[in-house]
Amino acid sequence: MEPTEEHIRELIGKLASQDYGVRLMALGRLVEASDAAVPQLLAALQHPNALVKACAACALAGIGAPQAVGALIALWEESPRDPSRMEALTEFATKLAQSANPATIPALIELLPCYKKTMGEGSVAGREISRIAAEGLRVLAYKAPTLTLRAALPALKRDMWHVSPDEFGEVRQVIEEATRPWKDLPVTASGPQMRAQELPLPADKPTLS
Amino acid sequence: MEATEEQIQELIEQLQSNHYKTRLIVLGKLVEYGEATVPMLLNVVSHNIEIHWRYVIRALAAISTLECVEPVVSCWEERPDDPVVIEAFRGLVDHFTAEARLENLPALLRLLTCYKRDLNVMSHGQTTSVGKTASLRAADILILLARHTPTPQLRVALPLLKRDLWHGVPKEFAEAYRQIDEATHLWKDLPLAVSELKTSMVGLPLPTTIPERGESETEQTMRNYGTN
Repeated sequence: MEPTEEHIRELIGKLASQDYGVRLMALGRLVEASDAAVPQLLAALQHPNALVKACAACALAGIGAPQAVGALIALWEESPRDPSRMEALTEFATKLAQSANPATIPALIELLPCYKKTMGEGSVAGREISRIAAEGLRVLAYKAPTLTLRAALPALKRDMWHVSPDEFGEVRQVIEEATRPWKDLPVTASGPQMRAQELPLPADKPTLS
Repeated sequence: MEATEEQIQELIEQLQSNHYKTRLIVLGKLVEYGEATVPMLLNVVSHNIEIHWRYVIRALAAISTLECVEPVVSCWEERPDDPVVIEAFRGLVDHFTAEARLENLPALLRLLTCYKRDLNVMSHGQTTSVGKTASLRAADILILLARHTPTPQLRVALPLLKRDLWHGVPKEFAEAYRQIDEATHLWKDLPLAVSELKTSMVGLPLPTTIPERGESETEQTMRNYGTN
């Protein structure tokens, strides 16, 4: 039986409980409710209570809702050594990578820079998350190449300040080859910002007159 | 909600699932089943069974029966800087310090010792006071119990509230000691049961009159059997 909106609202209210057990029970029920709980959980990410926000993000990670990517990264960045936050983001990235499809590309791209977000123990987890996301994009480039995959290319480039994961070079090459037909398409003004050397080149060099 | 042993066993095994979603759902269910799951969860802890141990500790802390206290507190003492363990430990402390109930006395006594772990953590350059907070909250509850339902059992807390040469006992303990001692003064000189908490010589009750030194019963018996 699918839970009603009212029931989900009630469960989200319980995430603010002072009772640890009540919070864990509500978290489990929300994850079980799966997609039906996603809209209200996304709204709960703006909740003033930090407990509610953190639990809602974990629930969204459990469900694997790609819309939660920003909130999960922010939660992890707040406390990168927290095993439960690390676990939530790693498992979320794994789930997205395993079920990679055109709809999950933006979320996977957002996960790519995790390797440079934190220092120490957190950066090990960050590199792992970046690697998982890159792997998801690589598999997608093989299976179902699309134009949107090219938006990952800037994030996969060598970074002068941070040592990017070794796999990035290969993944970049795979995506580049798989999406070659779209290489010289014009870039829309609202698209991701590109550096001058990334702009598409004209097929013929213009002659100066 | 009632659950059979098989159901609980199955849930505990599912804590090893590779799916985060499954682990979260199972954790919630174990907490919902409550006290019935505790023996099996404790079995996992005591036998070091390969399982996501953080989930087990979280479940025990959320269920918070008296049997859950030792494993959760010990786990926090071993890993006082692990945020998941800290959250679970705080959950347990909240549960036992929410109300003044005499049946929670063993848990409160265990929490009284937690300030000692904070000192260890501070000596490694960290400044968490999770343990001290737990000890102070336990002391506050003991004061409430002493005021409203004074009983001889409360005197077991007194040795734990005394000044300790090795650990900096929180200064607030002195007041807790005074109030509990006063409220339970009637039972001051009751003999201690063997099963009671270990006490130092200083904590032993004093007889009201000093007995005359004569031959003890044991000495007489030994003499009668010619072994003396």
